[in-house]
Amino acid sequence: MRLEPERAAVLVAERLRRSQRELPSLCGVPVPPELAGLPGVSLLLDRLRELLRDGVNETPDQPAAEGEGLPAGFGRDWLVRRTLEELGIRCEATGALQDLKGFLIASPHGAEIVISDRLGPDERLAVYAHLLAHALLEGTPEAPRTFFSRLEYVEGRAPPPPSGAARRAEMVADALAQAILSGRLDGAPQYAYRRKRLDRDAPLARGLRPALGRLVLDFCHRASLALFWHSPKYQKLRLRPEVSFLAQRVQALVRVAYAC
Amino acid sequence: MGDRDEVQVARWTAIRERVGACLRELRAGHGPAAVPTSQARLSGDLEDLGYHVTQSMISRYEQGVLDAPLTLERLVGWALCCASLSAPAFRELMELAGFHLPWTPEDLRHFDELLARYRTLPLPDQVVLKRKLLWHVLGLRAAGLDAPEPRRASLEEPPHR
Repeated sequence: MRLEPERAAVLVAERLRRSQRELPSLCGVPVPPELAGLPGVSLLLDRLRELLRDGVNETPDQPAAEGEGLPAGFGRDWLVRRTLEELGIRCEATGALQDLKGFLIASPHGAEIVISDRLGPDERLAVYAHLLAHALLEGTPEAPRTFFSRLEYVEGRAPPPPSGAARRAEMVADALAQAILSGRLDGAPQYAYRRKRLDRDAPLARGLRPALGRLVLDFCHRASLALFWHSPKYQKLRLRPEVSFLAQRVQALVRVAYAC
Repeated sequence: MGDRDEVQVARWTAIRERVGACLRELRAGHGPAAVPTSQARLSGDLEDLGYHVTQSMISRYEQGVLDAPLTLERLVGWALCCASLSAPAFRELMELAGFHLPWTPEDLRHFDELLARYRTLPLPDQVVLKRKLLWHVLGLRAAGLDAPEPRRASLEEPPHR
C-alpha cells in the first residue's frame, strides 16, 4: 500500500487529540449507568484507569512480544502504531539498531517503519511523528516521490546536515511533529500537511468573486507556509491554539465574503 | 538426469558465463566514483543479509563455473551489497534472470545514493536497512510480513492480549 502521509498525519493527530480528551477523563468520571450493567465493563475500566494512572506501557507479567515490540498496554504510542498499521504501514521494533532510533521506507510496494525496541513510549511517539512529518515534507503534489526513506538518528550520532536547506527542513519537521503530537495539525499552515491545494478542492464555485477569494486564501496560505519555513518564532506562534483559531476564523470570513 | 530440471540446467549453462561477467562488473563498481567491493567483504555482507555465499563461491560464480544458479534474492542482494543497482550490468542481469524491475534508472540511482549514505552507519543498522530495502527493490512485500488486516481502531477497543 502506498504511503499516504497526509492521511496518516491527520488521522494520527486526530486520535492523539481524542486520546488526550477522552482517555484521561475515564480516570475520574464514573461509569455511565447504561454501561455499568454490561459484563466485563467495570473490569475493563478499572484496568484502563490503572494503566492511565500509572502510565504503563508494558505490564510486568506480559512483556512486549519478542521481535515484534508489541506493547501489552495501550499508551499513546500504541495508539499511533495501531493507526499507522490500519493505514497499511507496517510497524516493527527491533533490537538490532544502534545509531538509529528508527527509519521509514516507503515505495509503491508498501511502507514500513522500523524503530528500536530500546526506545521509551515517548521516544517512540516522537519518532513516529517525526518520520510522518518528513514524509509530509517530501515531494510535491505535482511530483510525488516514488521512493522515500528517512533515518532518525540517536542524539549525537547524526551526521551534520549537508546544507542549510536540510537544516531548515529538519526545523520545519520538528514543528510539524510537534503539531501532530499535540493532536492539532491546525497548529501548522494548511499547505504544510495538505497536498491538495485550495484550487483543486471540488466543487469550485464559479465566477470572478469566488476566484478572487480563492486567490486571497491561496496567497495567505502560501505566505503562512513561507513564514513557517523561515521563522522559528512563527512556528511557535502558529502552534498556539488562539492563532489556529484566528486563522480558521479569517479563512471562514474570506470564504463567506467571497462566496468561495 | 535424476530429479534435475533439464530446461533449467540448459538455460543456466547457456547464460552462466554472461551472468558471471555481470556479477564481476557489479563488484567492480559503477560510475565515476566506483568503489570496488572485495570478495571477502561481499561474502560477509551477503552473510549478514542472510545468504550463505562464501568467498570461493563468489569467485566461481564470477567465472561462470558453478552448476547451481543464484537465486533472484541473491542476485539483487549482490548488487545491493556492491551499491551497483544503477549499473547497466544489473539491468542486464535482471533481464537474463527474466525478472522485470519495477524501477526507472533514476530510481535505481537514488537507491545507490541511499546505500552510499547507509555505509556511514554501524553494521547492524546497515543490515536492517538493507534487508528492508531488498524487498522494495524487488517490488515485493516481505514474505510472512504482509500488512495486517485493516482493523477499525477505536479508542474504546482494548488491546489484544
